[in-house]
Amino acid sequence: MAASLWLSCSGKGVARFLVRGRLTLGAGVSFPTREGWRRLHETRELWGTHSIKVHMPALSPTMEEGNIVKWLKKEGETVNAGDALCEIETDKAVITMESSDDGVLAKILVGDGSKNVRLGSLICLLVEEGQDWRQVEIPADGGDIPSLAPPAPMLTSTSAGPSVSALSKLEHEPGKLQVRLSPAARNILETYGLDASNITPSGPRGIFTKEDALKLLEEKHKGKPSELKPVVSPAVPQVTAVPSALQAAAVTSPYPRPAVPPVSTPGQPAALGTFTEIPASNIRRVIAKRLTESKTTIPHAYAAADCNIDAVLRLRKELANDDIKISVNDFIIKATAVTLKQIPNVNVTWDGEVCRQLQSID
Amino acid sequence: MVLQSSLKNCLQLSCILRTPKAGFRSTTNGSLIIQSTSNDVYQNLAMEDWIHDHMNLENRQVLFLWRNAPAVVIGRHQNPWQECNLRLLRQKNIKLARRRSGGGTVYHDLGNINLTFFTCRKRYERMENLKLVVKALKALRPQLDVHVTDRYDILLGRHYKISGTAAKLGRTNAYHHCTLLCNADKFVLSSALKSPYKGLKSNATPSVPASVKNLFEEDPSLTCEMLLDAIAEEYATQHQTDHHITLINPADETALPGINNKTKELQTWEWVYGKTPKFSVSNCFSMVYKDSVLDVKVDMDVKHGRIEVCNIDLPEQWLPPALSSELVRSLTGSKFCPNETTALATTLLRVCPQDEELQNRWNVLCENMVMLM
Repeated sequence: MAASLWLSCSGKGVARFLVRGRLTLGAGVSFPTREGWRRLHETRELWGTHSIKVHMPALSPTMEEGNIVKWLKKEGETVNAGDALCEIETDKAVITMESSDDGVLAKILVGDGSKNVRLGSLICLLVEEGQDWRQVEIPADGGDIPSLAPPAPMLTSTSAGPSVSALSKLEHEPGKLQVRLSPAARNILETYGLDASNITPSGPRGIFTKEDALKLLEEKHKGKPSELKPVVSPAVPQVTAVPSALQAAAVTSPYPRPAVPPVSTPGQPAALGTFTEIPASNIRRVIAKRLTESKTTIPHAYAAADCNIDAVLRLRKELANDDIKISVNDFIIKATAVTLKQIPNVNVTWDGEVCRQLQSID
Repeated sequence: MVLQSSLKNCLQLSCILRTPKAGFRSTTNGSLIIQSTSNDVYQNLAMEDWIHDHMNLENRQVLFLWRNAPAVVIGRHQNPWQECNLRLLRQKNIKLARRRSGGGTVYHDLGNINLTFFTCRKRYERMENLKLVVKALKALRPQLDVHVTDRYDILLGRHYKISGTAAKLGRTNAYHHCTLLCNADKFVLSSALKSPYKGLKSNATPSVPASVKNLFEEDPSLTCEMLLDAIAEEYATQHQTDHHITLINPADETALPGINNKTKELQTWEWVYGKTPKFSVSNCFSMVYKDSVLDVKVDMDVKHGRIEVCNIDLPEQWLPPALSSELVRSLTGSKFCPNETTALATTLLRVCPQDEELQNRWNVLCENMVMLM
C-alpha cells in the first residue's frame, strides 16, 4: 500500500494518504508533531480561505456537552476577541461564550437550538479580517463537504494544531510541506518520531530518502507525543477530544491508551532541558491534582507487611455466587476504616498549625 | 425590618445603581442586599437583567430577593407546551414567563421566595451560595434536615426538593438564582406543571420532575419573611456588609433606565413562545361527532412558535377537500396559539357555504385543533 500510493501524483493525494495511513493503519506517525499537521493544513490556503476553528468549550470541570442556545453574531459579522459569540446552555446555566480571536464569523456549523453538542466539537469557523469568508473551507467532519474539503480525520487533528502548536518545539516553517517519502525513510521517521519537513529532501524529484531520514535522526531529538499514536478506532474521537488544550471531554477510558509507548524516543539520549508535553484529559488532570494534593498535604509514613488474603478471596467468591460484587479494594477500605476506629491517633490531619484528631473520616 | 421602606433608602440605591460601570466610584464598596417591591414576574426578571447588564460587580456582590404572584417560569431553552398545562394557566390567570438562565421549569407564588446571587463572572460559585442558604436555614431552625445535592438542589428530609437552581454567565457578570418553597400551593403547582400535550418531539431542555415540600409543612411557624430575613442576615455576615435590605421598585425607570423595555420584551409572545426550539407535534385523536367517532391525525412542525408545516388527515370527504386544505394553508405560518387558530377558523368559516352541518363539523374540528395548543 505504501509503495503504490506514495507514487501517486498530486501533493494532495500524498497528504491524504499520509493522513489515512496515520490513522487507519495504526502505525507510527508520519508527521509526528502537530506543528507538522498545522503546516499541512495551512497549505490549504491554496484551495480555500484558511479558517480559525472554534470548538465547544468546557465551561465547567464536569461539563461533557451542552446546547447552543443562540448565536449572537451572524455569518459575515466581524468578531473581536472578547466579543460574545454565542450562548451555550449546560448544567442549568446559560453561558455567554466569548471569542478568543479576532476575525469574521464565516460559518456556523451548529445552529441555534442544537442540543447535546459534545465538548471539543467544531461549532463555527472564523476567518481573518480581510479574507473572503464566503470561501471558507468547511471541514468534512462538519457535514458539509465542498469539493475542496480535506479528509475529516486530518482536520480534526489539525484543529488541535493551534492549541498545541504553542507547546510544540518545532519552529514554524512556512511553505513546502508535502514531502514525498521513500518507504525506508518513512519507517525511520515513524520509528523515531521525526518531522520530515525540516530537511530538504535530497532524492530525485524531491523525494525524502532514507539518507535524509538518518541525517535527521542524528541531528535532532524529538519526542513523540503519545497522543498522536493512534490505536485503531478510538483514535479519531480521542484526537479530537484530547488535544483540546485546556478542556477535554471526559474520555471513556480514564487513561489514554496504556498501550501507547512512553514519550521519550528509544535509543536517543534526551537532550538537556527538552521535554514532551503529554496533553492531559480532564480526568487525568483531576487525578493528578488530587494525588499531588494528597501527597503534599498529608504527612506520609510507610510501613510494609505481607498479608495473607486467602480468606478475603474466598469470601469474595462466595459473595459473587450470590451476585454480590465486592472488590478487594472494598475490603481494604473496610479494613482501613476499622483500623482508624481502633487507633484514633492515626486519624489525624495537619492544618498547618495544629494536629486535628478527627472523629470520623470520609 | 424587611418591610421597612423609606424614601431615603430608595434614593440611596438609585445613586448606587446609576453609577456607570466605567466610572464606578464606590460610595459603598460593600455587597448589597436588595428586595423587590413588586410581585410581577416580568418586572422582577427584568430587574435581574438590569443588574446583570448595568452593575459593576468587580468589587462587590449583590443579593436580590423577590417573590412573584402565581406564575410558571420556564428555562431559556425549554418548550412551554412540554413543560406545563397552558390551558390551565390561561384559565387560572397564572402568568407564563421565560427566563434568560437555563435549567427547568418552576412554579412561583407568594409562598415561594427567589434569591439571586450576583457576582462578577470570576466569582461565580453556586455551591457556596446554596451552602449559605442552608446555613441560614439551620441557624433559624437547627433541626431542619436540609442539604445541597450535587445537582444544586436543596432537599428537605433527603427526599423533597425545596429549591432549584439556574444560572446565567455573561461576559463580565454572572448570576445564580434559586427558589425556596416556604408555603406555596402544591396542588396548583403540580397541576400547572403537568403537561397534557401529547406527541411532542423536541430537543428543548427537559425538566427533571421532583417531589416537593414546603418548609412550612416541616415547621408551621416559618414564614417567607423569616426566611428572607435569615438569608439576608447570613449573606450580610459572610460578605461583611450591613444587614440592611434596600427596597427597590423594578418599575422605576429613573433609577433603572431602560428597565421598562426589558420588562416589555419579556412579555412578548416572541420571547415567551417564539424562543421555543423547533419541535414537532404528531397527534392522533378521536373526534366525537353525532354518535360517530372519527380518527384524525395531525402532524405539525413548529419553529419559532409558528407552524411551519401542517398536515391534517381526516376521514375522506368528511369536510370538503377545498375547505380542509384551506385550513391547512392558513395554519401554516400562523402562531401555534389557540387564540390565533380560533380567529383563523372563524374567519374561514365566514367564507364557506352556509350549511349548518358543515359548520358544525368545522367547529368540532377546530375545537379539537385548538386543544392541541
